[in-house]
Amino acid sequence: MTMWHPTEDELVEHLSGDPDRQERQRIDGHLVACDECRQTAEEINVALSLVETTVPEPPAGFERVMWARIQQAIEVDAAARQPWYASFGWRQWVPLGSFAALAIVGTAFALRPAPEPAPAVLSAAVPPPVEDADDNLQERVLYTALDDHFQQAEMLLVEVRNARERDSLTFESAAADELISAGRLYRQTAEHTGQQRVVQMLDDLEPVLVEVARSPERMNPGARQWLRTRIDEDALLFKVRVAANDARERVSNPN
Amino acid sequence: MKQMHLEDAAAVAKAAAGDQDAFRELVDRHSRSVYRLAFRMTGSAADAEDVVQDTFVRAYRQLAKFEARSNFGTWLYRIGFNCSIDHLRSRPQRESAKTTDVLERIAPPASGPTTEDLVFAGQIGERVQEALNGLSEQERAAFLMRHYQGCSIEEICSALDLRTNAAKHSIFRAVKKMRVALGPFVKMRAAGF
Repeated sequence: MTMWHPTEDELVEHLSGDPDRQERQRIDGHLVACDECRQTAEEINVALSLVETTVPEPPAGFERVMWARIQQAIEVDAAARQPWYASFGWRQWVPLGSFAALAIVGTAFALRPAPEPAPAVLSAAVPPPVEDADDNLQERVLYTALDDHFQQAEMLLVEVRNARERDSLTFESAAADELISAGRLYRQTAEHTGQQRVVQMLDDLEPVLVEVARSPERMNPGARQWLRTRIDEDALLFKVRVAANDARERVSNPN
Repeated sequence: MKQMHLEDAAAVAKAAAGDQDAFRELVDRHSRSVYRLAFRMTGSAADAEDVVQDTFVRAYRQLAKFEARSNFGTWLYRIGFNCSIDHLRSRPQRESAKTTDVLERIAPPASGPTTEDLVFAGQIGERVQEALNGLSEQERAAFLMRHYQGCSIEEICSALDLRTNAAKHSIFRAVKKMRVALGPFVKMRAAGF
C-alpha cells in the first residue's frame, strides 16, 4: 500500500495553523514517521523565518517623526481640498488687510486723471505713461509688503534657529502660520507681475514655515535638527536678508 | 487582540469627529507594522516611510467610511498595500524592470555561495528582498499579510478583495517561489548552520 504524503500546500497550511484539529493531528503523525516530509516542512519553516527576521527596525522615535510628517500632510491635503480663503482666520487677515489697502490706494493713484501737459522745459521730469505708472505702482506696493514680510521671516528664522529644547514655540508657530498665508498671496501677485526671484524665494521659505507652524509647543529634537539643517544648508537666513534688502531697495529706488 | 480592536474603534470614532490626538494614537499604534509591510513591498526604508505617510493620510481622508465592526489594522494594511503598489508604479521604468522574471534572475549562482557568504546576514536580507520583489503584487501582499503580519485568510480576502481559494493559492505560489529563491540559505539553516 502506498504511503500518503501531504502536499507542499498542505504543509504550508499546517505550519500556518490553518487546518482543523483532526487534519493537524494527521499531518503531525505523518511528519513523525516520514523523514522526507519532515525535511520539506523544516525548509518551509526556515524560508518563512528568514522573511520574518530581515526587516530593519525603524529607529527610536519613528512614530513621532511619522506623526509630524502625517499631520503636516493631512493639513496640506485638507487645504488643497478647500477654497484658498476658507482656511484664513482673523489673524491672517490683519497683515493682508494692510497689503490690500495699499493695493487699492495704489490703483486709485494710477487711475487718477492724467495731469495737464507739462511745459516743454520740464519734459525731462514728466512721469511715465499711465500704464507704466500702474505697473510700477503695483510693484512698489508688492515690494513694500515684501520688505516687511521678509524682515518678519528673518526674525522668525533666527528665533527658531536659536531656540533651546525647553523653549516654547507657540508664538513662533502662530507667526509662521500668518506668514504662510500672507506669503501665498504675495506669491500670486509676484507671479502675476513676473517677479520670478520673489516667487522662488517664497517657495524656498514656505516648507520651513509650514514645519514651524505645525510643530507642537515643544518641538522634538529630531524636528528641531531638521529645521536647523534646512535653514543652514539652504542658506535660508542669508537669502531672506538679501530678499528683504532687495525689496527695500526697490521701494526707495523704483527704477 | 480584541481589546486592541475596541481601542482602535474608539480612537477611529474620535478621529473621524476631528480629534487629532486620537488619530495620533492610531499612528503610534500601527505605523511600525505598516512600515514593515511597506518595507517588504518596496524594498527601501525611504520608500517605506513615504508609504506610511501616504497610508495614514489616505486613511484619515476615508475615516468616515471605516466600519466600526471591522479590524482597523486590516483596513489599514489594505490601504498600505495599495499605497505600496502606487509607489512602485510611480518609480522610473528602469527600476521596475529589475523586478521582472525574478526566479531566473535570483536563481542561485552556478558555483554556489561559500559558507562565509551565506551566513552573512546582510546578504540574506538582500536575497529575501529580491525574492519578494519577484512575486506578483498580489502574491507578495497575501504572503506578507499571512506570514509576516499574521493575518487570517478571511482578513486577507477582505483586505485584498479576493476569494478564499485565490488568497490561499497566492500564498502557496509565493511560498514555493520563496523556497526556490532562498534555496541555499534554507538548506543551510535547515542543516543547522
